[in-house]
Amino acid sequence: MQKKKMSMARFRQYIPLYIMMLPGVVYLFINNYIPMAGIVVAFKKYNVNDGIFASPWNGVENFRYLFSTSEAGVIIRNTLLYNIAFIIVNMVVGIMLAIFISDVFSKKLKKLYQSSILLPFLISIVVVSYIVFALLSHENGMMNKSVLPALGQEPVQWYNDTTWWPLIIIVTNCWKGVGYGTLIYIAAIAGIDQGYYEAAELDGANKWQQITRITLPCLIPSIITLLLMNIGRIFYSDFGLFYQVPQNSGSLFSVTNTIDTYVYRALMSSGGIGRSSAAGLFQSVVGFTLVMVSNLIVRKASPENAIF
Amino acid sequence: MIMSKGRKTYQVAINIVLVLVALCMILPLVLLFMSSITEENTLVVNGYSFFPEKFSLGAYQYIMQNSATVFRAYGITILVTLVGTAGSLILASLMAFPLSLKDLPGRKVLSFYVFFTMLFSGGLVPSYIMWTTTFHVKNTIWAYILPNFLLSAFNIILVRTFFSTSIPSEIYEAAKIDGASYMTIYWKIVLPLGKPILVTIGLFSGLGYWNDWTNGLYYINQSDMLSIQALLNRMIQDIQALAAHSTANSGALMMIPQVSIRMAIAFVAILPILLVYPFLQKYFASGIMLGAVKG
Amino acid sequence: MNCKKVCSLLLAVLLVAAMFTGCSGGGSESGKPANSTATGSTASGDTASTGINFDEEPYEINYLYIVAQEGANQQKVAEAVNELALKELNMKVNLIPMTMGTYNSQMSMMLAAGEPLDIFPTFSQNFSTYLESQYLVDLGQYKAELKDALEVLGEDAETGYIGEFLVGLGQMKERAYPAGLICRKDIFDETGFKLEDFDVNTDDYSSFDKVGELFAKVKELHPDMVCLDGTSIMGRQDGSYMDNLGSDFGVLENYGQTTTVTNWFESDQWKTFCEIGRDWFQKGYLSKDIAVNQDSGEIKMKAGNCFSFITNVKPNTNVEKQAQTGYETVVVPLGKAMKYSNAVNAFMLSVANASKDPQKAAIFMNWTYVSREFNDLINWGIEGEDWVETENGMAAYPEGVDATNVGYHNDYGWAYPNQFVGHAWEGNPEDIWDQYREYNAGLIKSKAFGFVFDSTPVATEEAQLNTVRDQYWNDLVFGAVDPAEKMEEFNKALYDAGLQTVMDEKQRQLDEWLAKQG
Repeated sequence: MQKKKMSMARFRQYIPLYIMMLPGVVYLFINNYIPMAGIVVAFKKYNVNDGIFASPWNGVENFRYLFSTSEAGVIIRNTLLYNIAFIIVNMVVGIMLAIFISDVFSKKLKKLYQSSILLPFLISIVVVSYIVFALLSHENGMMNKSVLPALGQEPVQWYNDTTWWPLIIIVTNCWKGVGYGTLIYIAAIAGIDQGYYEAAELDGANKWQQITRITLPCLIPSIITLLLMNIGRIFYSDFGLFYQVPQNSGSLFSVTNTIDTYVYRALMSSGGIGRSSAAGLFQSVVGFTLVMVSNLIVRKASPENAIF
Repeated sequence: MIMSKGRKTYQVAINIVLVLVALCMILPLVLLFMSSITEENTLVVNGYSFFPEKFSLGAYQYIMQNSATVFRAYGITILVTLVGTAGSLILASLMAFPLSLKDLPGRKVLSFYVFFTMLFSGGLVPSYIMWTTTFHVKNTIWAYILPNFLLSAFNIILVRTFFSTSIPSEIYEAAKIDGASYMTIYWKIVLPLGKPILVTIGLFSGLGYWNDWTNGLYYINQSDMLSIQALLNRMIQDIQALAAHSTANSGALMMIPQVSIRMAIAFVAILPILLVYPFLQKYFASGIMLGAVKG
Repeated sequence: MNCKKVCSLLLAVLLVAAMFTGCSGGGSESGKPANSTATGSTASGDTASTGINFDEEPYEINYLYIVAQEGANQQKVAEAVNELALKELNMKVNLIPMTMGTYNSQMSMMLAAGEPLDIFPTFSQNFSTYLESQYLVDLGQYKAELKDALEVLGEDAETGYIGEFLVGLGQMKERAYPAGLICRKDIFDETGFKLEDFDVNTDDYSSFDKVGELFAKVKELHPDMVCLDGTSIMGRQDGSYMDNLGSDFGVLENYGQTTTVTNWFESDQWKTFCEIGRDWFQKGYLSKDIAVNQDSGEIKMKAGNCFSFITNVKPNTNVEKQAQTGYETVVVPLGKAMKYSNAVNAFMLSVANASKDPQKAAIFMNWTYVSREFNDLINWGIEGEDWVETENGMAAYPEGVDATNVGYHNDYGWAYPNQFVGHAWEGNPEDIWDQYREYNAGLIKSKAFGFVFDSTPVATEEAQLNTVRDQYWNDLVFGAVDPAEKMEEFNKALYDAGLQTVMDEKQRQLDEWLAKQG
């Protein structure tokens, strides 16, 4: 009895805090939670008269459609492989650049390199697609007009030729995103005790040994954090990167169609909202499962690195 | 001596590599700028190039003449960025402060409530229906501000972590003994001490708002309400749409600005970022580093 | 601990779901009275057709239409249309102008959300989804209200029926989309060729060689010039050489003079077109970009380095193209002109289910087919500011106004109900609309004219087929790849995606329809 009264009083003192949180809680509820209820449309034969909730159910028909198409395999494969490639490439390049930048003597140059590497991160993907077009346009692009002729090569039909796109997309993504990881690794490297390196040098360790024996092990927590952040997004793709940058070119669909672009195209063309939502739900569920599983693994392996 | 010689070669080597990398990062933006000041016909005949044969400021003149479109879009982008950033700062900090207090009842549940939004989403159509039919944001400035961008779980977690690790709880205790309310503590202590993280997430939401084109794509159809990114996106979309529907409209021609003008608008869109970046660079950098700290 | 989280999560979702169902319940209720008023007022339809009730509160029509761009005078036009409709119909009008790109990215969501909308344009490839999702009102119920419009359209109105459901009305324009080559006249004259030299037809494909000769001559005179650019070539003209029965999958070849559904992409004709494309591409006549280029031929020609492009042609094509490209043009026909259902219903005007009063919407729609002022307003803008009437009754820019500073100018007659009642733009022959009528009357008529394929049973297959087609056909028709190698792969992909099912369904529906025609 006494205890309960205490907690009521204690609770009352927190009321102002709850009020402070109210706007944020309400916003998240509206923006994130209410639309979640709309997911049921993935199991419906939608018609506007009945609305999302009263439309007739059609079971897993929308999913059956999604997986019966030959595209299902392609879009899942593309989404996964690109994300895995992004994670690996950005990690390797990022760590390499971070080590180099950390080793630069001149403070001024260090800062200059840092700034320039982060710059593309700030540019919108629409503008990036304009730049890529300036490089790759068949008729007027810099590659076909200046670079390839200078190398004595034949012009390439960039926007028709699927050969190059995995590379182009990975490079574009790396160009735009590598600065982010690099800065995180730089911070982690700065946090390493210089004593380790001095001791290693006394023992006659060369630069390569210092990197593999000291720097890389010390970066593991940062690597895991970034990895976890990325694995949760492994079923998502930057819509602009896969839609705008290849100029929505049909002949590239086999290498540029991802779940996000598929959802959008299904929605805008004749696919209807049921099918589009089915693909979206599939994406959410698999993504959710992946985060949970990977976090579980990390929690088993090194509890202090788990996100939750 | 030998050591320092080895070090010198190493320094030279990494500097060369890094200069090349830095050039790769910057040159594409230079190309964008050069295309915008290339004379249209040179662009068509000689292609995009760093060293165009003929220069022309025609594209920028066009922008000035049609200032109604571009400047208006610019104004909308600026307004949206300011309001949106202010809004997200207020909401995120108000939300993060209580969550950073370890003794708050229900803290775990509320944290999960925030965190869960990062894992699962309802998809485009339900949110679209809600924002347009219940909140009527279509073709208003709110269409850019409200959907998706106002408050992200990631920001809340960042700020909360900063508050709980960098502001010692003794300060709160002392303030409470002095009779300060939570609102006073938030205003007088938390905000000033949390400035570094607030500047950082402010920058990131500002960047997010400035670069966003998706809300414009879905929620805006009046051309006088287009933001600069939405305008750039619409030009691409109109071109693609006309190509796709050629059967139905034998006579259709969109009034699409020429290539150099499109490039000029794209450059104008990133110009403010290029201008403020040198001054805010360190905040971006520190912000990203803070982001890596486990949430 | 974990269980607790999951439980609280479940609870939250349930709560949300409960709230949302509540909301939507309200939403659908507010939708219902609309329907009941609709049926109620149909009963009293006689009063509506006799006259307009000017005493009642004016109904507001949400009229979505396609524009080239939004000009500075958009607001003025909106006010003028509003005023006009208030005077003549006792209705208010809310004009919703959209460019094509915006239309593409927003229409399906606007409809799904049931946003306020009365009349809007629709593309035939979406009909089956729209019907399934109940986005449209059956205009068949409002024949009395649409009397004038139906009269204007004549037999062409039949093409709006899918089964018993009248999805929309077509616009008044040309009823065929024959392919034609638009050439710059200055260069064309330089080559020494005469228009009479060209008798390009599909009875003898060697007649296309003449076009190749023309390109060769252009190439010789202007080595840097792109002979053919833009977004089309014969193999892309899927509305020109056969009756496509609504989609490109399963067609009536030979200008619809057969009743057997076949696969055009396998035909000798398409193969020949691809080979011609390949030949032209390898000889360097085509722009290297052409298979992915998205800038129209008009834009390319205007930029100054393009000799010609291929597009659909009609009686006044050269006048229109001169306005769009800035060059005088010569139009070389690349085949015969055929009238078929999809030529009329590819793009239509429909009444949205979201309309609060579909009967009023129908009355308004009817009016748009006969009102000269309305058609002039939405196409040319404000008289006196954006255009003036010339002595011979044409529309023209006022003094000091031109394409660069005009406040409102669409020239989108093809997208508006009835340009024939409005002014034609200066430069056209004075009797242009009569020419159109004559042209439309003299077309070859597909044997399936009036038949509209209901694609609902094969919607899944068609969606897939569209993707497959988009993936392959540009490369093939523009000769970026060797047809000998790729055509088979393309057709295999089509059959894998269910082409045979679609063709069988088309044949079945067509046979049924033919039987009914007696």
